[in-house]
Amino acid sequence: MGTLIRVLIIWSLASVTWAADVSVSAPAIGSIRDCDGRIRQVFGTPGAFVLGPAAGERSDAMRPAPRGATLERKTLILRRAGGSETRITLSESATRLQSMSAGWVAALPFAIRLTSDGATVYRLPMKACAEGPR
Amino acid sequence: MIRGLALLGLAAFPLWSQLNFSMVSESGDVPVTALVQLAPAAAGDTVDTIFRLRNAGKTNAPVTGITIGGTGFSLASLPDFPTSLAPGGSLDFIVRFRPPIAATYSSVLKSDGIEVFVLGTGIPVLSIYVDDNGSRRPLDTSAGLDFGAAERGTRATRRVVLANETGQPLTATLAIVGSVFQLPPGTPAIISLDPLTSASLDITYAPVIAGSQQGELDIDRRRFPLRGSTVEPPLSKPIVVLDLKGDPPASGAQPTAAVHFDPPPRTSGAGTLRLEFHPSVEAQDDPAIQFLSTASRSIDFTVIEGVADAQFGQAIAIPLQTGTTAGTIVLTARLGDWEETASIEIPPQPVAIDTVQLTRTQSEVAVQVNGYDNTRSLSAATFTFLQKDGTVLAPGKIGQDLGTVFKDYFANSTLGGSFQLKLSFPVTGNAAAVDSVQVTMTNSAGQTSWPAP
Repeated sequence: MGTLIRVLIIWSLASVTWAADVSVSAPAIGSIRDCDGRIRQVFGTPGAFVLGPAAGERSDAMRPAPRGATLERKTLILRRAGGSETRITLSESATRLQSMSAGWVAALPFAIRLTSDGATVYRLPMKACAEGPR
Repeated sequence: MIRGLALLGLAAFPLWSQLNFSMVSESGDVPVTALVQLAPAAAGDTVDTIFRLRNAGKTNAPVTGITIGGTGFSLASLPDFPTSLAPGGSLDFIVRFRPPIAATYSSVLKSDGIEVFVLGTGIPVLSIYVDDNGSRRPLDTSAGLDFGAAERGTRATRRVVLANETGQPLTATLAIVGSVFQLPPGTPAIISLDPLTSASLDITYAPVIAGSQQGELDIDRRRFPLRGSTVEPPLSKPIVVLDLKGDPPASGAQPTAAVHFDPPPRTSGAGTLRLEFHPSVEAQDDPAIQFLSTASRSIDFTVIEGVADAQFGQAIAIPLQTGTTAGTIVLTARLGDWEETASIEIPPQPVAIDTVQLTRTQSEVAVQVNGYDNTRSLSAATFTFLQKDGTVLAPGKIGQDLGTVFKDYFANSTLGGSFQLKLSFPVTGNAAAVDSVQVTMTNSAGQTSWPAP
């Protein structure tokens, strides 16, 4: 019995060894459907974005923004489960919200990083949409 | 009386002449037979009268010349002689009367086989001068007063002196024609000057539109042309302003740029704001460094007269990205002949870690680090894995040499200094026990820890 207990304890202890595999690549934040309704990858880091080329068919179909995030004219409204909300006024008119990736939404020309206490708004390097997915 | 008879005697003209003189007026020709009285002229001024020589005969009439003698008279707009006039034909010319002083004047106007007496009167008037920095020159009604070129929106002033150089009091009416020319406020419409006194007037030329402008200074019946030309004011010197919103210059930022004018511009125009980047580390460029609203390194702006901020479309400031490479960002505003710059120095920074994600399988944990290294010199990292209670898992801090892999990556990267690093670590035992990871990364500017201490 004593022997069995010792084995289980040893098994439950984990140890990590030196990395077996290391790779570096260009960081992608997510993707957007641009003013023309085409898909574009968003590369870089927050505040230093680079848009990839437009790809795919034109479409109005967008990944919906997470529940609780809405846009009313130039005001981004973030409602939390507890009922509190944060309002952020955007500096320009924007298209309707679309999801970019986990934790990121876009309201072109803005990319918005959702945080635990609100959001951080960035401007994407692109012309504002005259029309497009609103 | 005797003089008049003598003049009439001289005025006899041959019966054979087919030619006759007339004076052209708004109401038509006024035949001139022997004597004509010209309109009075102010002493020193010019009065032009149009005369007509007509062939009243039924055959062609040769005309070898037209002459006038005597002080104060001259001819202008004469045709080339000799010439001839067909029956009923005519030619017009000008008799110019310019009395040097107030007096009566007479002369004989002659052509082929015809002559008439011309009388003129020089009336006493105020003498008009232009005061050029204290020296006077006479102002006459033919040359007028030229204000030269003035910038639109500015004022040019010339001083005119009215002098009574006679022995009697003189009164004159004053008026100005042309909205861009102005008499001093409160100038009376009638001015009276005693003998040997003078008065000065500062006439202002205040053009509001481009082009040449004309007006008239009227003193009694004398009309002095006023002329000026208007040039556009030069475009103002642009002042490039960068607003870092209170933060020190750094990579990964989105400050704004604007172009101001102090004082506000006096004319409208259009210019361009350009952006250049000069890396201070081993790098060619950084594509993330650009104006955001054009996604390029150039943006046009407009300048509106009287508005101190250049307009970028509807905006007075435009956002830009500072990218992820250390170096100097130079903004150059070009407007007309102006080329003004402002720059920000992005210093080398320790690695900026944006996110660290930890995922587990049964036999390994994977760590993904997103961030940027604006020095492009990332050389090493350490990873320390912890259990949920904060206990460090064996073997403790794991060092990882990353110099080669990052050197290769940055050599081919088109995203500046940004990167996504992925590592997988084999786990001996239960990988689920790995709850979190602490990361440090080292580059030439220092060391960064995640989470931040």
